[in-house]
Amino acid sequence: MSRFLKRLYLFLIYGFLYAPILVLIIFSFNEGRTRGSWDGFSLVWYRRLVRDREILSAVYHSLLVASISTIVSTIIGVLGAIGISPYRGKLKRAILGMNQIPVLNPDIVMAVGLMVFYRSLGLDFGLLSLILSHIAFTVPYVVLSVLPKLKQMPSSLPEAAMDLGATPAQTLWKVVIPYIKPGIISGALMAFTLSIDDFVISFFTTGSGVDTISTLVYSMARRGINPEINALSAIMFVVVLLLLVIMNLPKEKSAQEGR
Amino acid sequence: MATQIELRDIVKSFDNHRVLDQINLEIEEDEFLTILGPSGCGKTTILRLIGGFESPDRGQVIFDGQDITGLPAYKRPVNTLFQKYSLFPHLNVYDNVAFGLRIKKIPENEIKPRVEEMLRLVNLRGFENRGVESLSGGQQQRIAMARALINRPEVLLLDEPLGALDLKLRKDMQSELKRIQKELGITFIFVTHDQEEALTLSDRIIVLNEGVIQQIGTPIDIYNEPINSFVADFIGESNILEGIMHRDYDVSFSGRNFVCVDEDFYPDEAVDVVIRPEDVEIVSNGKAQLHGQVVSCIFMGVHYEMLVSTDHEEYLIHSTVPREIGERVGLFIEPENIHIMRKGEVEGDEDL
Repeated sequence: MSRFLKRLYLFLIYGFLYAPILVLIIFSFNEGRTRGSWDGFSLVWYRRLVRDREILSAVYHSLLVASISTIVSTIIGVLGAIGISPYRGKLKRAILGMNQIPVLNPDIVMAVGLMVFYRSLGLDFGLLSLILSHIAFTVPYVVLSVLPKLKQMPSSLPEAAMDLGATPAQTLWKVVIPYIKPGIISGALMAFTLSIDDFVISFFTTGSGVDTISTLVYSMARRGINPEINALSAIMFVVVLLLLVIMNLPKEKSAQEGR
Repeated sequence: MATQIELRDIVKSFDNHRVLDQINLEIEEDEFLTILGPSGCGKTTILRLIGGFESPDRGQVIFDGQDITGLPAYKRPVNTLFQKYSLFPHLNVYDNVAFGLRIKKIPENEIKPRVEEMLRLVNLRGFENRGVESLSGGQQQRIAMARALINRPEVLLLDEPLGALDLKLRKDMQSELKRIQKELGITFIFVTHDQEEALTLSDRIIVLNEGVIQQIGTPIDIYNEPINSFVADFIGESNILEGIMHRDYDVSFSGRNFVCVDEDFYPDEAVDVVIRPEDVEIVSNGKAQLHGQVVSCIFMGVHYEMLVSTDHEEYLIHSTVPREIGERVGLFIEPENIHIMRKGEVEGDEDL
């Protein structure tokens, strides 16, 4: 009996979490416009979606911003983590604390802050400001995912490389980067999903004509619900699901190697 | 033999704590030199100074007559065997061993035979494609050795390389090390806190304590003629007694006078007297210099370890013949087995 209750509890929790997504996906295949009634299976909204230039350009912007900001923030974050790791004591805690504030800070503070900052610099709002903002808020996550790997690395490993004749640059490429690679990959994936996912910061730092998926969906929702959004959201959910699977694959593999 | 490495007046501090104090040292070509001392004595720091991983606060490191004090590690003609092996986990055995040659841009067809030669040298042929994490501690250490030696260094630095291995494996690796050093004819600078290891392997031993070189000498010199009570105590067990050196060949301790073989002391100078436990003989009363009572007697395998209490102190004695606890025995010490040491003397003091 108690086992049944446990199962029921689990089922209810997951049901509560996934029911909306399930409903969304089901209704993305609905023929009619409403979400209230089922009018029969159809791919009409998907067909419309791939012809909708507005949505396609938003998808393009989202992917472009996410890709560029992921690459740049991964490079900055990895170098930053390598720079921070030799510090000890108070100074290190201070630097790490500064790194963590943007993570804990409400997005809205960061968003408004960036907006005011760009305005004071006279920077035009558009793709560039969007990319810069996304780099700014994803760098700390990369640093946080790379640092533990660096901490785990014995100091004699880079020393051994230099002992064998590798210059500091060669040591970085041939020994340090391969060692912290799992941290770099998970940091980059995190930066990418956070960038795709972001609404608040994008909303405040983008300019007219440059919409990401989330800002577009927001403005479409204000004009009235368009079932194309259902189709788009369903696709995004599947993509995130795939990313999640990829993110968890390397961990399982390394765990098996450890055995 | 020529001097290969020279340390001149090296001083090194970490966080205001002086780890090395005025180290002067000459290392001969092709010798097996051991730096021996308790943990925290600065022995690893000396190795890291030679390897290029630390720079001294003062002093110079000279290699073949050239000052290399400021030369970074990757430009030095020495290689290191680290305490924790430090193999690259993302590379297999072959790629680990080939690492140094690839850095030097040596063509692959030249690298292959040299990797094979090195794996043969360390008795690990056929391990080329194994992942390094699948190897045992001893095997990892051999691969680390192959990885260092493939660069044909003039000097190999070994930082307690056997510390993590169990006793049996350590013994095997000791003879392996000696064999490889003989085969390649290169200088080995070996750091350890294990005095037995040092005595077995070395051509010369440097005993280091609190950043000061206590004594430099062959294993036999250091064992038989320790310069001070620290060395005597660190190299094997000893009886260290307070004594007075009255004149040449005449010393008193334990309440009586003894004939010894030492000379050149000040009249009535206070000295430390060192007697090895195996040099104290238990004899019949007629020959005895001292009398005492057996306090304990423990079987140690090859010998019995006994404590004999005399009127003034307790003597540690190694003997193959056990005695009853409480038994009264006579003790006898040969003059050449009485080692007289100036108090607090260290290497180089007699030159002053």
